[in-house]
Amino acid sequence: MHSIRTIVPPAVLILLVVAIAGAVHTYASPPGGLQLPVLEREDGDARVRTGQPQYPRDAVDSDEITVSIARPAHRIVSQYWSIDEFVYSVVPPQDVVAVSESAYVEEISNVLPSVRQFKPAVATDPERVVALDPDLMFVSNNGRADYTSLARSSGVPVYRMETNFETLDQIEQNIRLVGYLTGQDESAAKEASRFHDAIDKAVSLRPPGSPKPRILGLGGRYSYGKKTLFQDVVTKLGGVNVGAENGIVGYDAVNFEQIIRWDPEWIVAGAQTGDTKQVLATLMSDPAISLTQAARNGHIVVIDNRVFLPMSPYTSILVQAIAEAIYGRGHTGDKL
Amino acid sequence: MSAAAQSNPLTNASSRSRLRLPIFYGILVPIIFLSLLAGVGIGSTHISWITILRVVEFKILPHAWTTSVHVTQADAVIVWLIRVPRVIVAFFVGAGLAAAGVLLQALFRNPLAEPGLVGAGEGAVLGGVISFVTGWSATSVLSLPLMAMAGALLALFVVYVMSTRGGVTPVATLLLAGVATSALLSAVASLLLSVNIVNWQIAQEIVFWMMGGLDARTWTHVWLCAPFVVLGVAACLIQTRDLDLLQLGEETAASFGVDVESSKRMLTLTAAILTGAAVAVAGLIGFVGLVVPHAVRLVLGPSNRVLLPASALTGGAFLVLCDLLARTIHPPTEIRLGIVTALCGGPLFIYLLLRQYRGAANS
Amino acid sequence: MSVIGARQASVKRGGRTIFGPASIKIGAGEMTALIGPNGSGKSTLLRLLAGLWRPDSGDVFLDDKTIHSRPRKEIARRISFVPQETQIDFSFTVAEILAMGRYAHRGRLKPQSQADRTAVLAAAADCDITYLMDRAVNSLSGGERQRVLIARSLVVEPEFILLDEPTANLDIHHALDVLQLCESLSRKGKTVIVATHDFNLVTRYVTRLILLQEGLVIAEGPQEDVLGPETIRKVFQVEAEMVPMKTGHPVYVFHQRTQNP
Repeated sequence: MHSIRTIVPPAVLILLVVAIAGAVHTYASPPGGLQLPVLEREDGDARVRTGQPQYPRDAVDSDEITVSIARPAHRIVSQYWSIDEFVYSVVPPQDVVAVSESAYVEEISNVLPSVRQFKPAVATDPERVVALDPDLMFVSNNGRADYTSLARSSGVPVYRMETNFETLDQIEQNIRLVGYLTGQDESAAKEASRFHDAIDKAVSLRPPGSPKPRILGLGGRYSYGKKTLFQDVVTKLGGVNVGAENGIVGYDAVNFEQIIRWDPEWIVAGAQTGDTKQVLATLMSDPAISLTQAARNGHIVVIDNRVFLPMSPYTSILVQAIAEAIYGRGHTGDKL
Repeated sequence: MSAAAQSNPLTNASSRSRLRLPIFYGILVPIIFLSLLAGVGIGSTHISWITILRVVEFKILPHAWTTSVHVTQADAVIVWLIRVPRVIVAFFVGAGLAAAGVLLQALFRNPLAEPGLVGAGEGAVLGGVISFVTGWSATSVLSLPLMAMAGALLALFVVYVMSTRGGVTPVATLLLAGVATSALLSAVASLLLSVNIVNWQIAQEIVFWMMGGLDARTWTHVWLCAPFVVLGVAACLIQTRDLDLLQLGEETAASFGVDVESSKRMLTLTAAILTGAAVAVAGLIGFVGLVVPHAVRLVLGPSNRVLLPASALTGGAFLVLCDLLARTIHPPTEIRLGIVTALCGGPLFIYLLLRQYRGAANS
Repeated sequence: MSVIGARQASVKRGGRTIFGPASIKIGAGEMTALIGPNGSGKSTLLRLLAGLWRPDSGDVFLDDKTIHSRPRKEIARRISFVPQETQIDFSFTVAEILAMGRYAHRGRLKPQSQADRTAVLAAAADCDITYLMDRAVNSLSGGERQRVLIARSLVVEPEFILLDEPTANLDIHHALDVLQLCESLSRKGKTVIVATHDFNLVTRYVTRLILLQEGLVIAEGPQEDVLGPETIRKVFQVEAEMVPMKTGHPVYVFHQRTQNP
């Protein structure tokens, strides 16, 4: 009897923890964070729930809070790396007063020239941000709730933006949303067009009627399945996402056996700036990957992380790069 | 003295080497006052003292009196919503951890015990990690602290049940169960972290939280932490005589009329609540619960009636100053608070030990 | 009339009876010694009588009621237990240690009263440790520490004082001091019970001996009834020679048991 009392409580504890860990893993996420079951994902305007174009403008953010904006913004704070990219693609750079830490990091930032010229503050320190007297703040839906609530209590309009995108259309909508929120509607419309046209151009590179290439995306030992942006990119380019084909949902690990069995025709992988050649070499000599069609035919494309990772207007470059690699010149190489 | 004296050099003090209480508080209270002022007055942006006073005046006094006061919204937010809650949280977290340390040093009859020993600290960490990993911490300010508190109490419950038989909790078993459970919970937290390491933003947040930190503390955190600390310390101030007797041995305490098992339950529960409340709002901060009670005991003696309030107040001031250091050494980056307390607490502890040891060797 | 005792009390561990059943009765003003070899149950019986342990069957009584039916504080006020000297890692002063003894009288919150202070000073005087009041208890010698512990038990102003091996680690003159102190206390009307393995030392001071072996009481009474050479051979496994003394209490000289049965 005594031994039962000693064993049961820790056993319960371990089971509880394992159950939670398991549940967490099952609902594992695409890059950028977990899907919150509350939000319904729909294409089109449902994500951009905005009101009338006259001021004051209303918009509903990812916390279901209605944010009211009184006038065009000229002191903008962005707290997340992909939001930086949206903001800089729409507003004049001098209007951005604070950015995420990543904006200054060479290996990941697409906005370095702007931040180096105008030197916005880094948005991690709430005190500095408040002292800048901003008129609009963007935070990510992944960020900590205490930071967000602190920002909200400061009296500045705070829009919590959904930063996990599943389709290129959603990115385009988000560009327009940023334009709406900042008052830069024209600039946003222009950028949205540019984005749309770049995608169309990339899609047009596909010879009509050609067979659908089977493409596997690789981020380290993880691949991208259904309900990811990669899925949408591949589908739009007329390919088949090998990860989704084999039942992956979201972002999940893949192992040797799976890669060999699935035998993709093309592999698209990301690498840190400057490491693209090295990653290509490593992939080519990887025991599992070297057995695939992709490796044997030299169909491995390694893309700089600055384009591979973010879900932002810069994703159009990713789409173009993949399209050119597969349909354009069609040779193995590293990009950017 | 006679060769039979088996005295422990660590505690070989006569009452003559103790500091008198009024002198101690005469030094401590100004330090507390100054450290609170410094915490509010110093930050990454410069705000003049007059502005700070005006903000505080504006917020505390009825509005009718302050119609002529003029402060910008930014200054008001920085002082009242960012700096003041942070300093208050720092004080209560430090006080709570120090008080928990006093309780556990009495419970385990060892001046080197510290709050993590009964598993509550790692339980709180695991609760927090779960809240990060499931994404709940992104939805509500309350989820992280509440999960941490729940984790602390759950861990304590498990430890207690494992080590209690027939209503009796032998302290040695409690210690072993606590250490083992802490190790297990820490491993599970690391497992969750490693599984999620691919999601670098969450992983970064977890690691930062595990190293302790008071960034972005709001008044919500003040109300989450302060009542528990106040309650916990008050509950133990009532029990200081029981604590003193327990420190001399359970049999001794029982023979003088202490209800030993009930006292131990109260002690461990209060220590867990204090630790849980502290970790819930500040992450894992070590050393405060070990060094502060020990240092104060070396100075004021082991009587808990004196030691408990003095340790709590000293712990509060200590953490406010550590947080100030964390913020100001390398702006705008903040050094994690747990690292600062270890870097400050460690050498201080060594210095105190050496001083005591040398004093004993010379006598 | 203060009486303390046991009625068929026994203690079980893991299903086995390790002590008892034992029945004894000790009255006021007596100084009694519980003697026997190691493991005979002296400490167990002492702790049962002190109310620190509960018997698994049978009963321990104080006056007319079962001891455990009485409130904890009452037991603490009337019975005082002096443990064998233990290591203390905290530097309480002697004065603080003595003041702790008033816990049962004061409770948690009431401040120190005049009665408390008087009791502390009187106990310190009785045990001759007034000169040690400001010293840290863990800087004292073994003998001094033992006297402090006894003083602490006196501070309680108990009717019964129970001491567990009070002379075990002491120099001979300290040991005799302690026993003389105990004897004077019993003459003042307190009931003193001493558990000791050194019966040779205590016979001079006690009015009654209770001899235990393997958890059972096998003899009790004055010295001549309890400690004959036959009994000593059986219980302590040595040959004893009784040497008469002027005090009227013989002492024993021991020889190793011969190999021949």
